[in-house]
Amino acid sequence: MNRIKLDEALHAAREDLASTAVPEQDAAVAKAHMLAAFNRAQLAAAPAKPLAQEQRSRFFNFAGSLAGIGSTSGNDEGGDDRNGNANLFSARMLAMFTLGATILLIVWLLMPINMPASNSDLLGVSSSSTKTNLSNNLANLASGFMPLVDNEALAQAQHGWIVPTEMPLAELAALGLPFDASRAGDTVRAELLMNENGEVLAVRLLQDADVASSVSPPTAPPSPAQIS
Amino acid sequence: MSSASQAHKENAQTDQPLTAPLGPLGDGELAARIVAGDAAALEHIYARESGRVYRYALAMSHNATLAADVMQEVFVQFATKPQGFDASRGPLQAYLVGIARHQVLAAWVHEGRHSSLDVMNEDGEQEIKTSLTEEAAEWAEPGQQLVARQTHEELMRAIAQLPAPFREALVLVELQERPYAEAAAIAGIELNTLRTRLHRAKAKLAKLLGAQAVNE
Repeated sequence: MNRIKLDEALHAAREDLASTAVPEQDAAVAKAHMLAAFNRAQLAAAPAKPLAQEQRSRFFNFAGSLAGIGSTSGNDEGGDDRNGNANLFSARMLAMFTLGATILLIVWLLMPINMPASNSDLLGVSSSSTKTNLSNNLANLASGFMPLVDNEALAQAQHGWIVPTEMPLAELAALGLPFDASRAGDTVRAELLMNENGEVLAVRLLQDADVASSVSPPTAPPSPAQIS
Repeated sequence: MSSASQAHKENAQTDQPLTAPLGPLGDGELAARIVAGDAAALEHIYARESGRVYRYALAMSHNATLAADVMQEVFVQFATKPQGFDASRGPLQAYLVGIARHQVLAAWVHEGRHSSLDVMNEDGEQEIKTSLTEEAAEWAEPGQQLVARQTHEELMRAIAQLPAPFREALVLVELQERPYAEAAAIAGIELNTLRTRLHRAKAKLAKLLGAQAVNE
């Protein structure tokens, strides 16, 4: 029998193993999942929008100046005036109360605007999103939108946003949609249907037919009757 | 034909072309970029390291499907928490293979092949002792023993029959050519323990392959 030294056999095994590549399909799928996980992690770690922070800062400065407790006009250095300074205490309490109430009002007003934006940052959403009444868009839902939530959740949504976006095909994995892994690097124009909480309810692909053919919906689009 | 033999065998050394600007960066700098949200740095790491992670899992498990799953999970974990890598503790390659090692063990536990993850740690020494044959221990240089010429598939099948601690030492040092210190760090064992396991792995493998003395 033909015999060789064990070390020589191991050397041959080493060479063979080194020439073994990851199967192309597995590599593409793994990469898509990796990027989707990366995007989810980035979204979860994303800080509050700078614009909102700036607006709040401006508001604090404005309200503070009205109440006489702005950072530049504060009287923390005037420790001698504390005794008997009831008017100042009352003014501070009033200012704090006013600030609190106004902040709550502003947060309430901004909420439906900011929340979809935070989700759309990741997906490269343009600023041309439009608010829509879901009950008036049944035709849209029946003409190309692929639901990403069950019909019950869809039916519960009263108002939402149709958000145009362009996303890599690989991002479809993050939305739970199957895609052609060999085309993971391609981008696709799409519209996302979001509810007021920023959750993506459905997606509609707007690209050309050959890209569309690489994506198959997990379920048939709901009929208007199902949603209503 | 086993699933392992179905793996592609082309362009494995380079895997995918690297992104030029990221090439000179060290592991720490690349990881910092990923933490800062640079997806290109992550793709660069994937192109550079995915093949090695896959081949480690393939050699350990002799199962191409499991190897692909392990590779995917390794990079999903890394993408989710890149700050877990500390460049001062070793190269990124070793860190990723360390995650792969844990994934392989978890898969074995899930399959019921082992009852706990201690199988390849110090607590698993009992398995080593019980599986060591006297004949194997007698061979001072098992690597010099003559064995029947094998196909790659037959040899990998024989390696897969080795106890996990032996197999790991053989895969890390002999098949992946890692430095002893790095292999010991990945396996979480002392350097001398790694050497002992490697020697015994070769002895047992020689026995499995029907070794004969060199002078025969």
